[in-house]
Amino acid sequence: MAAGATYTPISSYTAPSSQTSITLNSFTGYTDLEIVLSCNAASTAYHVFFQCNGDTGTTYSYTILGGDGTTAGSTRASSQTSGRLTYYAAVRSGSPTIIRMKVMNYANSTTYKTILSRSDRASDGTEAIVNLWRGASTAAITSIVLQPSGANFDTGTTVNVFGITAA
Amino acid sequence: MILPGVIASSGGVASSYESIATVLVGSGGTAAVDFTSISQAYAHLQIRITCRSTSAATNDGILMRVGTGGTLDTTSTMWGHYLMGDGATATAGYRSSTNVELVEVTAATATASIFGVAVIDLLNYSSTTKNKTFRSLTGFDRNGAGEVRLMSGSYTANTSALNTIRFYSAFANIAEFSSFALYGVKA
Repeated sequence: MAAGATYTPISSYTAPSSQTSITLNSFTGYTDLEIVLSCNAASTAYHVFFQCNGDTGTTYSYTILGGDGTTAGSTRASSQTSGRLTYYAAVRSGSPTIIRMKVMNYANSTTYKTILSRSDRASDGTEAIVNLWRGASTAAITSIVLQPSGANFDTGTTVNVFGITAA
Repeated sequence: MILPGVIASSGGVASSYESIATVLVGSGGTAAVDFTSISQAYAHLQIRITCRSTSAATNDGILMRVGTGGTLDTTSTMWGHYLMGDGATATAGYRSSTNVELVEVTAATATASIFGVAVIDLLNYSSTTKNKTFRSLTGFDRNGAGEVRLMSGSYTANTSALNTIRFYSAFANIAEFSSFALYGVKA
């Protein structure tokens, strides 16, 4: 019944210097992707966003659930030019912010793509986010650009990509 | 090849995470998605779902029942708790019923081609000494409204190993192009 081992490591990257973006573009042949980021900041805090397939249109929307140690809250945005991966768990100097993206059914051509993520920074907050990308069509995701807003990914930021193949 | 700021493929290695079975819902939808005779060779199960309901609403909860010994349990009480954000407020709640709601998806009046997603973990499903506990991260966004939820559930009718799982809507069918992928995680 089982089709065999999956959850395959695809790539691993450690930023050798400050980066304005990180591009993932070689992940064909899987059903889902799991992308694990450990984001470092120098002195200025930043948030992490993403775009799919180079799409810079207002085709992204997201809903966020999180807590900052005092209260739980929720916020959302429609028709954005990028998806969002942090809100309560900003990336700051010191402890990294850990982000885990679940890019569901990214290769299918019949649905818009919905991405779940969890982001955590122990001294700031924790959150869950659902992102929707409505590209020009229901095309498969072939590239993802991770973009910090407010500062750069600092040296030592890591990104690990895993592929999951359904039977 | 790795370029500055660009990650390229580096190949793969074997893992203890295995694909067991996948259901892709065909034309016309289906009343239920069943996984039966689930192997007991794993410590945990994970189910990754992309789903839409045919219910005449913008969204719908997909319910789960489980079974032991090859029989789906349709009568025992299951518990579920959730923490949910709808873009405005965070709320928490719970329900008890003969099913547990771990998946929140889009439905028939939502924009076409927008599906909800969920990742469910069924922990220690093959244990014969523990009640069974589940958890999920689930959500949808419809570009104007959305929900994201952290949910948990339990099955306490007995401590037998689970080998049957059913997903269904209380109001309608599971729509075409929905997919349910079952994975096993070895200890």
